[in-house]
Amino acid sequence: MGKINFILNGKSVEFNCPDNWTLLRMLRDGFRLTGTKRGCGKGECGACSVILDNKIVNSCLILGNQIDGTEITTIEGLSSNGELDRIQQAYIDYGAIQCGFCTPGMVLATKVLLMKNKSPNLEEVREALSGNLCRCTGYRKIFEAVLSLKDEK
Amino acid sequence: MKKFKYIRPNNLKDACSILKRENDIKILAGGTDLLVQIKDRMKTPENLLDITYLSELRVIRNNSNYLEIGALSTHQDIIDSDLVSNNAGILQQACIQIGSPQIRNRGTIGGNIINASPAADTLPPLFTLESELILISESGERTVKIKDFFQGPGRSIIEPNEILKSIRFKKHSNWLGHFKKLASRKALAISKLSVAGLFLVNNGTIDQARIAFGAVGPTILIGKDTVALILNKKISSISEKEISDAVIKDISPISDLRSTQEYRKAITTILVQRILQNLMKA
Ligand SMILES: Cc1cc2nc3c(=O)[nH]c(=O)nc-3n(C[C@H](O)[C@H](O)[C@H](O)COP(=O)(O)OP(=O)(O)OC[C@H]3O[C@@H](n4cnc5c(N)ncnc54)[C@H](O)[C@@H]3O)c2cc1C
Ligand code: FES
Ligand code: FES
Repeated sequence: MGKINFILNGKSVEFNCPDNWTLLRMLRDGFRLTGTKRGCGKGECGACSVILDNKIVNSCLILGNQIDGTEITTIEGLSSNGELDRIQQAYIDYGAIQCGFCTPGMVLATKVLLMKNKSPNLEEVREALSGNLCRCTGYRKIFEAVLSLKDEK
Repeated sequence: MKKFKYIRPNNLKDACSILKRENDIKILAGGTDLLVQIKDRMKTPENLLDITYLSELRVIRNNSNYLEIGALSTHQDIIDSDLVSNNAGILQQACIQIGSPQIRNRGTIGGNIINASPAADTLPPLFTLESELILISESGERTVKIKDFFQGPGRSIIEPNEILKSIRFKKHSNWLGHFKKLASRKALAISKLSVAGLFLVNNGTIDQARIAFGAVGPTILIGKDTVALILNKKISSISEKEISDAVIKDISPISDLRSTQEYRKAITTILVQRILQNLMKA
């Protein structure tokens, strides 16, 4: 199609995306941001989740060209100056990571949840993470990590 | 993914003329059905027309009688809309149960309709709301009743050069709606069957009723016999056996990967009973 412009992890970027590339492929092969994972490739596992204009989406089911003019945040955009985001730190502290393949998507889904809801309960956490599958942890530690981030008022 | 040409129209008019001009072309909205089908090589279009930038198709609005939902409204847009919750709560009940947050943020109501799966969750509610679909092409607009739209799994009367512009139905603010779906788990699961029921109830008597079944036939089925059974009756006076007999006349379920015929019959009956029980509580 020609060049697209968008904001990637806070920086304005330009890219000439092949018509049949997904956003996932553009991020991994075009920008070498390999934190975004390819699992099923069909919207079922959430490993490819990124934040698009403040919403969680599956990058495997969006064409690169469809994000022209939007704002994208990947897992690489969460830490600043080498310091982990508090969500990433909580996942480490609570042992919520085993192989780590689902983690980038889980952390970004958590980020979007906490943007909208500072003190989610367990049911709300389960719902917000229901599009992200984990083969390793059994979810309990993930939910505990997220619940630890509640704003206690 | 197989190669195709990506085309982005400047406006709706432009989109209609591209559809008329190009032969092997498919409309792309949220992509949650179409891109999966292209990856699986079930569909191999030469051209994709990305309509997601046509923001005029993503409006939810009303006048004194009708609610109109733009085809590009996502499931999440519908969940967030006060206009929908006040006038068609049953549609929201279906959207909340679709896929996952990721799928609801991207998947559109228009895509759910045009993909024409008998298991599509917005369809039974849209049937009970007696929706009309507004289709647009280079030669103008036409309006089709949803009950006349589908021809079978994946098939409807939409022409290749037409775009679904919006869905329109009368406001149903005093009606009580219930949508129930059975799937193998809560998130990320296709319906094995679903039931939508929309009712006007007066002192425990059902004054008006509409029932629609999903995933139990080649397309959505209307519950004629079930409605005839319950109309003008006190809900408490209707027996289980009567419901089960009426439901079985209404549906023609098949056995497939997701479930068997007998199981679908039994569960559909139970879901109808639950909906009626909910009505008694209201
Ligand atoms: C993991 C996963 C879980 C899912 N769970 C559910 C579920 O629980 N319930 C459910 O009902 N569905 C589910 N789906 C299916 C899908 O998400 C929905 O059907 C969705 O609403 C499709 O909308 P879309 O915008 O993504 O359509 P697209 O994939 O963009 O398009 C679908 C079809 O409609 C056509 N089309 C789209 N918009 C228009 C228009 N305005 N005019 C004319 N043609 C048009 C396209 O050409 C294509 O043929 C799921 C899908 C996935 C991948
Ligand atoms: S890789 Fe996108 S959802 Fe699995
Ligand atoms: S930690 Fe291995 S998939 Fe979640």
